Amino acid sequence: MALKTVIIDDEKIAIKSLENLCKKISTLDLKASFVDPIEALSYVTKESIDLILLDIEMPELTGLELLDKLPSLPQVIFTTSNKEYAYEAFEYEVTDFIKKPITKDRFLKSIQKAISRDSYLKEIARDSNLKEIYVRVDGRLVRITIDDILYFENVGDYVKVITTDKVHVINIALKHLHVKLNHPRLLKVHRSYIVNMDKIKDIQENTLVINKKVIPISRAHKAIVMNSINIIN
Amino acid sequence: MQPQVKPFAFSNQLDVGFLKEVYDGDMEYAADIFEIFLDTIDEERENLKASLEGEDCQEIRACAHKMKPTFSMVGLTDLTEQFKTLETAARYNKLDRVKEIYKAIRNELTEKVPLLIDQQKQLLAHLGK
Repeated sequence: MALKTVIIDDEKIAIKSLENLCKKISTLDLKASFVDPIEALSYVTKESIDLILLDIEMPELTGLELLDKLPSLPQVIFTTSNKEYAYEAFEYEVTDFIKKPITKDRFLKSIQKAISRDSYLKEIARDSNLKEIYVRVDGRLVRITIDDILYFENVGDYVKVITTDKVHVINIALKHLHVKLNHPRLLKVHRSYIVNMDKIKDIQENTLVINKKVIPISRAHKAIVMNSINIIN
Repeated sequence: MQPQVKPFAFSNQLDVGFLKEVYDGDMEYAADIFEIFLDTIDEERENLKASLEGEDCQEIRACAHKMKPTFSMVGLTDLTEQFKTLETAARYNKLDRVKEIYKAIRNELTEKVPLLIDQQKQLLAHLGK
């Protein structure tokens, strides 16, 4: 199925060129284009969108600020004329980052990445009700029930799995682990932490506490955390 | 049988290689982009001029950043490069350098915009419009 796509760019020529490229690719279903990022935010929040082609430097709301305000992140391809945002952009785990002016070949490569990622996410989403995971520790496969997990912490090339009674060190990058878990209660809150939302004791401005451990919440992940909890007052 | 459409030849004063790569023979698309460019360039030039008169480096940088990639799309890749240097000079508040680059950009635009208007006319004629 084609990816439902939205273009957000304050520059009309960029919009026209992206629209033209989108129309030539049957795996993209272009839903709307916006010059005004605030109008776009309201649309993307309401509609179910698979992919945003997003400019970064816009006067009223930058692309990065827009992502902060979204309750859940679809795939994002940043389209920008400055490389200086590349590092910050990848903190948001976007699919790609293309420098303007955009050529057809470069755009096609980027869309191919988005399509592969979409198929992968859909495939693992079928198993999203998982109750337990197996991790490879010292040549053994150790079973861990999801309910016992407190959080995952990135330590160099490894990840520590902190459970109610044990700590396991496993050989995987946190970003890959996050994709593999794809569990609604295991949320990435920072580039170094995935937490079990059912184990949080409290949340302050940019931190949360699980079992006396203070865990940072990054700017890029704050909105996702706040939207996954039920705030009464 | 489909009639053979003669390929459009852009002026050799433009970056023909880049234009061929971007438009890949799709002259309707090229005409649309040239039209948007010509519709917006006067306003963009005015905004840039106003920011220069106000000696507001933040505003100059923002204008230059926004305008920078559009010139490549109409074959003026040199201007994209000049806007890049303007943006950098404005970022570091080098106002004298900014004014110097702006002068060169202004002259280049005065020379090249009529060429783009002519190219747009030729594109439309080529498309039978």
